[in-house]
Amino acid sequence: MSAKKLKNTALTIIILVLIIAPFNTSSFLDDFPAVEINESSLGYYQSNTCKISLIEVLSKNISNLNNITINPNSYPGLECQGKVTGLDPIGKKFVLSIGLNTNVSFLVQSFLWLVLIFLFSSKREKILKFSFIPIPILSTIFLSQLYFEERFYRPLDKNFDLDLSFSNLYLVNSFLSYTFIFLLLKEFAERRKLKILYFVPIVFIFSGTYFSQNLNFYLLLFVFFGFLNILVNGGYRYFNYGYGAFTLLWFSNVNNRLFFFDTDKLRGFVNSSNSLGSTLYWVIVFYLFINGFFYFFNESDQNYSLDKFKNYFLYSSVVINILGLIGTSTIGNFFNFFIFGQTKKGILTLTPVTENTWRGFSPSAELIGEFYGICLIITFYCVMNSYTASIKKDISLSIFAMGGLIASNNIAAVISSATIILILFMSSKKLIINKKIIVSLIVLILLFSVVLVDRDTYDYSSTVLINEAILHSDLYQFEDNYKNTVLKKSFFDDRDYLSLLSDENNYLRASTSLNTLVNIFSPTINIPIVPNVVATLSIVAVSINRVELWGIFIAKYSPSINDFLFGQGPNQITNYLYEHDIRLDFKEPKAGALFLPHSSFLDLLLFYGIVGLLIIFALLIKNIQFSSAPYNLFSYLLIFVMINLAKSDSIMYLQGFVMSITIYLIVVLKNRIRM
Amino acid sequence: MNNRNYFIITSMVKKICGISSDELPEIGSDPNFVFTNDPLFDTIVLYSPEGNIINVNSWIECAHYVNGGWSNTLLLQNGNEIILYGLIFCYFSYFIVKKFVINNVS
Repeated sequence: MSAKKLKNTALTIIILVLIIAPFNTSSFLDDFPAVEINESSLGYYQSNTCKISLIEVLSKNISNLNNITINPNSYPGLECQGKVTGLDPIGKKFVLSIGLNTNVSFLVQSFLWLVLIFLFSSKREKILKFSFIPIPILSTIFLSQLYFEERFYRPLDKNFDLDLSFSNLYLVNSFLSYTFIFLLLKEFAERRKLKILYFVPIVFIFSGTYFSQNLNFYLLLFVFFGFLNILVNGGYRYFNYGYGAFTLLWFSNVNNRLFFFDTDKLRGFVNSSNSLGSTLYWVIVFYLFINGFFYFFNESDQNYSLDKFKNYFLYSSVVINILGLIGTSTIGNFFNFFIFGQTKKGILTLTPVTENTWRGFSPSAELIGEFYGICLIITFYCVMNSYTASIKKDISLSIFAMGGLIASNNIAAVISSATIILILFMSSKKLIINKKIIVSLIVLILLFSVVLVDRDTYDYSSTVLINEAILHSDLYQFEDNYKNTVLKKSFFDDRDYLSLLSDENNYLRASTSLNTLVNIFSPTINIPIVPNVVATLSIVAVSINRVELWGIFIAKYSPSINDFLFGQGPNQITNYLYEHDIRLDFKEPKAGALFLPHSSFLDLLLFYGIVGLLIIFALLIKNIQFSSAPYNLFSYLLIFVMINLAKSDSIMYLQGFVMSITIYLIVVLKNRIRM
Repeated sequence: MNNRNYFIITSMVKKICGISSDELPEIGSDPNFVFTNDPLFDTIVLYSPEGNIINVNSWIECAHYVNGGWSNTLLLQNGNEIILYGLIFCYFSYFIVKKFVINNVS
């Protein structure tokens, strides 16, 4: 057997053992055999908890799997690892609870994903030597999350204990687990080279969220490399100064009222608390995380093949489709969740876009639509510019991406990717496209819209956003919300929002952003022809179907001046979600759902304030340069990303963030890479 | 108790305490009940699910405790010790592999 075959066989065995062993934790020959799951065996499973392993149960229920849903839980101790902790009938189905120890899951998932980065990396020609210093420091930083986000972690593990002593094995084990994973990452960094560009689509398959933790594997990975970047390259001076200044302002903005966010589908990449400690934790982690990206772009000898880059995207789109289909089965659904580190379990139906989209592979429909859109742009670019080894293969594989894009129901991604592909096609055929033609087209479209849009439509569109925000605000105080709604609507026809806010002191209960927007919308001096900013924003919201969600944002977003200017810190939305009381104009269960701002620019406004947002805008616009092929592809991708970020929360999801920042850094630092 | 559970507990009593012609009296939670030592019975150590330890000196005493969920193997409710040993094993394996495999290959 050749060395390569031996290595592949060993890796396959390691992966299989890592997947099966944690769930095969009881003997098939013991006194507690698995039995078929049905009404009569309910009592048996309920009274014999932590004795029968998942693999044992599945082997006895192969023909019965459609009636079972597997629900992992982390609360029991190690004695229940991989074993049945309960069985409950829900409707016609049975929910089989399986115990998974947090520490064991962390190690198993880390090993799996370390094998993954090993597979998607290449051997260094010269072995590097890095210091051990980052290992204990980073382990302590990540351990501190248990203290700072205690409310998230405490209910998830019965052994949770924050007592600082060596006899507290819960803490000792957590610390040793982190140090061991960082030790392996150090080993990896010294001997292997990760090609960040190829890795972007892989992040969409392996989401990397640890089971029962507000932690993501890629955070560990990039934070480690970020630390190395500071040690080796010293970091970027301007970024360090700017980030330092913002950090001081974020600390001064920390709220005294503590809130808790259960993280929902943002798990692993969001602050679950708004305390000073958790803000400090996320400020440090995010700083190192960004530096991790700098590290990869600072590495010398960055050679990429566009054909290979495209293939990674195409194969990833195929894999996501196939695994998504497998995820409709009971076993596939559970193992997809555990192996790929999904934030939430996918749904078991064939519908691709419901709840956790693509059966867990994407936290949102917008994000997966953007992924497929980018995949198609890259593919068409390669096909049209002959950067491909096989056009036939590309076209046949792109069917998966097209199907995925359509199924994602992300109209913005469909239109923007189609437009960019059309522009690419025209430029490849040497059809003249210059700035004058683009500007003329935009003017024509605007003129056409003015002709089409009559006065009534304009009146409706220009006010609908404020109306929506008012409907979701907790203004009048009747117990029956219908009465509140009727009262609010009585002011809508005359657009007399100032009177509405002054009536019964409603302005005190309205958010600061609603008060401000109403003041801007109701100016004392009306300048003809010049459109009102709020009315324009409202028309934009109507045209991209964001009235309801942005209306809720305005109702909720009630920042102080400091918050508005500088934000609340990286991945901090807890204050936004809970600080200002609103009363959603929905019935349950919709009223209890999680409503994110649905625009990454609004997300950035929450995190970094208007100052940070303007700096980010300036950096984005400054760096969009259409250099020669193949680098111009990334400028087009950056435009695509910016358009789509305007109406999606993708920047809040780790995959979306990794994709966006990598594309941006390629455009900015294109001199450092060779295609 | 359903038949299956009765069978399982009976078989566990046989496995841990051995076979006996004695019948288990109705002890319940009677605080005045005193177990009589059986000189022919080898003392067995039983562990509760919470980690408590007891020495039983008769088949009846043994069967009573086994019925109550005690076992002759220590089932650690808090598996942190096992995880710690696992981690030590991981570190040990890492250093062995690094010293004898990776360094040699390099």
